[in-house]
Amino acid sequence: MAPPSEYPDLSQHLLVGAILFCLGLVGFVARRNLILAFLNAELMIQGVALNFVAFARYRGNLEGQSFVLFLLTVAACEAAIAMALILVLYKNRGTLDVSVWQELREDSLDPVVDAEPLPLPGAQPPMPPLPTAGLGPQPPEELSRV
Amino acid sequence: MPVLFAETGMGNPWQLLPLASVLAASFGVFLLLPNPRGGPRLLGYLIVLGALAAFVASCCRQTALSVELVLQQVFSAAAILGAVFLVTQSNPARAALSFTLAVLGTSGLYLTLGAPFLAAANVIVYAGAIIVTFLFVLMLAQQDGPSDSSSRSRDPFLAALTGGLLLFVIAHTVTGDRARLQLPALSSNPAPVMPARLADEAGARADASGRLAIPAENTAFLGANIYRQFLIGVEVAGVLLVVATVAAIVIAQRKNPAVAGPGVK
Repeated sequence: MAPPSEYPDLSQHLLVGAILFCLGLVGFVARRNLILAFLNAELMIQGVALNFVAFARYRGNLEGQSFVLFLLTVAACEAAIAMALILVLYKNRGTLDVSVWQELREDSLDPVVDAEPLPLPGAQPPMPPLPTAGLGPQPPEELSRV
Repeated sequence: MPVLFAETGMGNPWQLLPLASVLAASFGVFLLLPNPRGGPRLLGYLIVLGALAAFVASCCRQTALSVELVLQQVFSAAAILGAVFLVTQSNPARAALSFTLAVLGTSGLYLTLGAPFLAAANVIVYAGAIIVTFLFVLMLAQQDGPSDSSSRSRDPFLAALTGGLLLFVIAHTVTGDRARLQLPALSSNPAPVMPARLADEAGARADASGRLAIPAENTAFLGANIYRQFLIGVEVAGVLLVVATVAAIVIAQRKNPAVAGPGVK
């Protein structure tokens, strides 16, 4: 065990970056929503950018931070074009599911067939009880008549 | 094979803890990934978070408690929590908001690493612009109740196992004994600075001992750096932004030829 140092070391930041990258990878491969797949790709970019900033701090110069600026630019461009593509795909098929596009797969792969039925939609949460509006209390009949 | 085992420290059973905790975390992610059967969500979250905590504790070097360390742990925990929720939430809108949490945690880590400009840019670009755009498209396309896109996963077991093994390999590389020998602690390095000549031209302040004021001058240094060293890169990035804007407009306006009649451009 190394002696305690005053500051957290580089490897802890690299570890956090690696965890973000691997979680993004799992989500990108496993999730079937197009938008969530792209969000997970952005999460992988976050993990990489964290590595760059940590190395910039470690090396004591600004090259890593400069690179993250360009990384942000490219990520923004990617998000814009991904958004437009997702809109077109959604207009064509009416769903965000990636599996409706599986005719684009390789010939040797078997098609994905969803065997298990979807769960029934859960019960809607009850509406909050509100007092009936618009009906005021009846005023007492006037006693004095002219 | 024996040499490999000696190098990885597999002789000591206690040193199997990182691999075991990563595999446990993968299993927890597998439990949490959306499937039509549902599943033990609370148990899955407990397994993932406990295993990740044990993993980080087993990989990290022992450090003295300090403000920077506490801040770093808090921001790291926020980033990892947001990432776990993003991967495992079946509701897309909640997943998008969890991504905001992950971005905020990462931006906090940028602050502790002496990059305040990047922290602000990260919050504005990601937590602001990109998430709002994604939420708009979600609003357009959102359907009520369970759907194929949000309640099913594609090969969840293999995906979780792949991510876990990749994480173990990366972590073993960056936190192993050999890496610790080669990477001293951050305290032995100065904060990011410019060369003195550029710092003078950028109008950077220095304190009485001549040490540059960091990270308050981070933005000036960063600007001087990218416009001196990477000027062509800046121009190319500008061109890329324009091209992406035009391309996004063109792609989003394209009509479906099966729907649009003849004569419709």
